[in-house]
Amino acid sequence: MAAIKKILLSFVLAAALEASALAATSLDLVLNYLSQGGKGGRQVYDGTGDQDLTIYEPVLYVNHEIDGKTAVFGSVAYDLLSSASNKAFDTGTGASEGGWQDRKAVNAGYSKRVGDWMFTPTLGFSTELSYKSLSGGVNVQRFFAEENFVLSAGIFHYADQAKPWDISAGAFRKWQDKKTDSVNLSATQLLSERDMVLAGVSYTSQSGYLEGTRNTVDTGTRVEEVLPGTREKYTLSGRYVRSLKDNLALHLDYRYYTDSWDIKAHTLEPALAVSFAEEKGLYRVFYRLHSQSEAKYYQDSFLSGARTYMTSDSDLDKFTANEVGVQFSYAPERWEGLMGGDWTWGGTALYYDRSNDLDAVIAQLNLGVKF
Amino acid sequence: MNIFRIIALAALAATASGCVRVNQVDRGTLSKQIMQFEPMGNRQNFVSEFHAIREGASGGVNQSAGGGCGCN
Repeated sequence: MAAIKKILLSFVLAAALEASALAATSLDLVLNYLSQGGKGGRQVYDGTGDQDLTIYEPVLYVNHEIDGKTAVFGSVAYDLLSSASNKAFDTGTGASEGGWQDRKAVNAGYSKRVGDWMFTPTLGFSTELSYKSLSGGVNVQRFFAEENFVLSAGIFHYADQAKPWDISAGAFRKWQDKKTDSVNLSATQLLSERDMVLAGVSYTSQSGYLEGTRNTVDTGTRVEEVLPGTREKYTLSGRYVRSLKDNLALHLDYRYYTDSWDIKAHTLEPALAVSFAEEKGLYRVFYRLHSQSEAKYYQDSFLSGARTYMTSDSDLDKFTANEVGVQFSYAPERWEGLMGGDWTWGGTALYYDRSNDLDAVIAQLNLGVKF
Repeated sequence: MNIFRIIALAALAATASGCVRVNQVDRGTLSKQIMQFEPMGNRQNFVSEFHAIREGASGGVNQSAGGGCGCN
């Protein structure tokens, strides 16, 4: 792990050195809050289904434009979370990781435009009590016809490790590897002076330990869920934006998903974006509908008999989720030039409701400045 | 579904309107913040992570691939 940290530190230092010839720097502090509730979690150890979860997460984003064609960027996040299902698991098994847990994450990237090409390599690292992740990837864009048409391709690799609790042995197992490789391809086309469209596909391959570290199933007694060691995911996405008035735009997003565990899903998200105060402010109102089928290994319980693969994870169940929300951002005129920067602030209020007894509220506040 | 069929369909859809050309000087509306695919920038990351955690059907262009988090 020390080697991983050195690699990341080297990357950040290299980016900082290149950033010495300052041009424009922006900072954005985002405070995220999540409150989740629901009794539909059949994977929860004590059988209550209690899925209450609270997360506080401040994230600092930094972006520095070295010149018109080069930028370095990164983020640092610290999550503080409390989960009822984790507490139940700990109480029942003695895993003793309950109460408030934390997660730390850092990401860094560099983007360089060379002619009609843009290259963006990224690195990421995160660590929490029973999970850690190191990721890297690169995105390449190619601009055609004075940027009327843009092709984008990305490839990403996650080398993760999970530390599950062995219920029967009453002890932690060794760290288990989990690998994720993802490639995506998208194309953006300007359709007219008022609208544009994006079409994209992605393929993700996962292998290793794909179970949840605390998910259980009921076979008469509570045992750990068992899932295959591989999973392949495919998505097809479309995004469309059309200007309806000078200060009003319609957004339409759609995604189709299918995977080798037999989950199929449709996600539709229409939104309206409205600017105000001579474009110093922006509102976005959105609705999101997500509908998915269940994984072929899912059952509410396995009292009828254990299977080779079995999960009762409500996230892999069949459900429909409705989400509504509003976001805004505003750059007050009196904040222009304050302490040498231009400031903006904003917020988000979002409500999410899932048909298998889970709901959530997300609230966000952010303060940004550009020097 | 065959991934190659998906790619072929997406490429066809993306290039079907390839003859359209909007000059740089005519992109005033397109360059507005309300026209950006992610007009709220960094705030979308947390919301996308939440979807990736809570929905078994995660992943896609500009979305979490399912790595990087052990959230249950």
